[in-house]
Amino acid sequence: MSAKNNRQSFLGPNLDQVLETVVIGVVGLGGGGSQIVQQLAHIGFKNYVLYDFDKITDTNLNRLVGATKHDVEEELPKLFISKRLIRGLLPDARISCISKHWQDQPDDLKTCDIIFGCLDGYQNRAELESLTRRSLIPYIDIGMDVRNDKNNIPRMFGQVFASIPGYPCMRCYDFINEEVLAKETLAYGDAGIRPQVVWPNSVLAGTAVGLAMNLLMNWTGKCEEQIIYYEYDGNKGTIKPHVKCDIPSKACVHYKRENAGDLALGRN
Amino acid sequence: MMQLRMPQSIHQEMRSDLRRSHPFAFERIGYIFTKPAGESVLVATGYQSIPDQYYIKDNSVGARIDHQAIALAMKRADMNKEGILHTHIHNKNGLPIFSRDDRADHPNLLRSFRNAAPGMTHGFLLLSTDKMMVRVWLPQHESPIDIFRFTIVNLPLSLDVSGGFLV
Amino acid sequence: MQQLEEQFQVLKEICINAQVFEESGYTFIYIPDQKMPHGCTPPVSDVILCPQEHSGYTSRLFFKDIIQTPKQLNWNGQAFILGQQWHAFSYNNVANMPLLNMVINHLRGLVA
Repeated sequence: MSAKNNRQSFLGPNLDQVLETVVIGVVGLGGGGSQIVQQLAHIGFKNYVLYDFDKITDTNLNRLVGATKHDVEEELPKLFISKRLIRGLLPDARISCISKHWQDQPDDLKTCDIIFGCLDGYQNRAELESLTRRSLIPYIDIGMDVRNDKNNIPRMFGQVFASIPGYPCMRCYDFINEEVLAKETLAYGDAGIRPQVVWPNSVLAGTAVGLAMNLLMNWTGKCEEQIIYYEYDGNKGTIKPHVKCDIPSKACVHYKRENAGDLALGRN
Repeated sequence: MMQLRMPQSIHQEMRSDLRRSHPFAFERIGYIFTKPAGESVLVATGYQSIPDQYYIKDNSVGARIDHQAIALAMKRADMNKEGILHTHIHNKNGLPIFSRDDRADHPNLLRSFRNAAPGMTHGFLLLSTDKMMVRVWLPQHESPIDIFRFTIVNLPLSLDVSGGFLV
Repeated sequence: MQQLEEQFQVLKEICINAQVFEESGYTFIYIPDQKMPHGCTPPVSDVILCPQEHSGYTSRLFFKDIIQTPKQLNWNGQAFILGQQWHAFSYNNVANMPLLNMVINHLRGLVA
């Protein structure tokens, strides 16, 4: 084990090799994605495939880790900010930056060993899950929202969901269903100005990265018991296994193993 | 660099089947079916065991299968547009190596697999007790590619980048 | 399921290259090179029928291309299905009919 990783040596003797070879995909480099990239870079992961088509604006500064006022003045892409953050810690990291919607160039994602999704919208998540299930890649999703309850009190909530091929998916746990997809379509995809702040993103990103580290290293020795669906209550300040985790898990019914792989759509 | 990903359920099914003894063959053979995921990744979509009656008695080799065994794989590959990996196990530790007898069979089997699904990648998967390696031919390519990067998808993820599982 | 299989065979008599795929718990009917109604551009496009509820619609027909027609349509259904991007216009309440009729009804929605 290299000297620089000696504080992380409890993760396992193969850590150096894992950090050198595992390819991490991060889709969405806003408040959540930037935190994930920061943590992964500090841990020492060397290979990244990053997706974001957006540029930084003033309203991102309250939560986009690594961003500066100067970046806003320069109208820099969020990709650049994440890449700079990684390079500041790992000058020889291999970073593939795709400045598009991931659906427009999905093939680069298929080379990843783990994908983090930090996306807006249920349909976006559903589509990313279908790609990761086809490509047999674990997909760890994070997200948060703030909505007023019936007494007009803001309620902050979020989730971390690990969609592992062979295990229940977002639809199995009813996190994605026709109702939420229909509501999203009816709103014509306009989420409005969604409340976003920095501290819940760090809780969710940290939980997601911790989950990924156990998935990769099994440093707990009990990865088979790993919780794959967490719910976050920002009002109470808690993150805990989702209540649905108590339901005994069965194999996923929405993504059958024989349906993996790309389809050669065309004539028979 | 090409890589192969396989769900744990298929990996387990394959190893359990290949470990079984056969009435007269010294080894068992099976098939892993694959599809591409992008240009450099193959994903396993299923495993097919070969029924006992499709083996031919031949003491000079570990196992020999008849035309019906090959037809079994060809039929599925044609129907589902899948690639075929002919699979067997060498009962020792460490990175497995195709024997001379293994390699002698490759051209004829490959020809059959390509007849069934010419647009797919086909080849041979060799297991040891703790590692695996794969040799594949891309469609219309004459030279094979050896795969040393494997992922068994499970909790935990099992990633092998040089003939050794990391976890 | 048997009913769906029978309906698919009827559809396949007209759309001979149609194929059935499953993804995300949906059943999709893929039809390559489907002719569009008169007056549409392009005149031919690949389509995918989702015969069950999808994104708030009772069924949905997705197109490889955004079809230009004399009729004003709301193309609100961009979706990533079976590994590719597809487009659908807002057209609801096509339900409770055989698969072939669903396709015909959706196509009619392009122009009528």
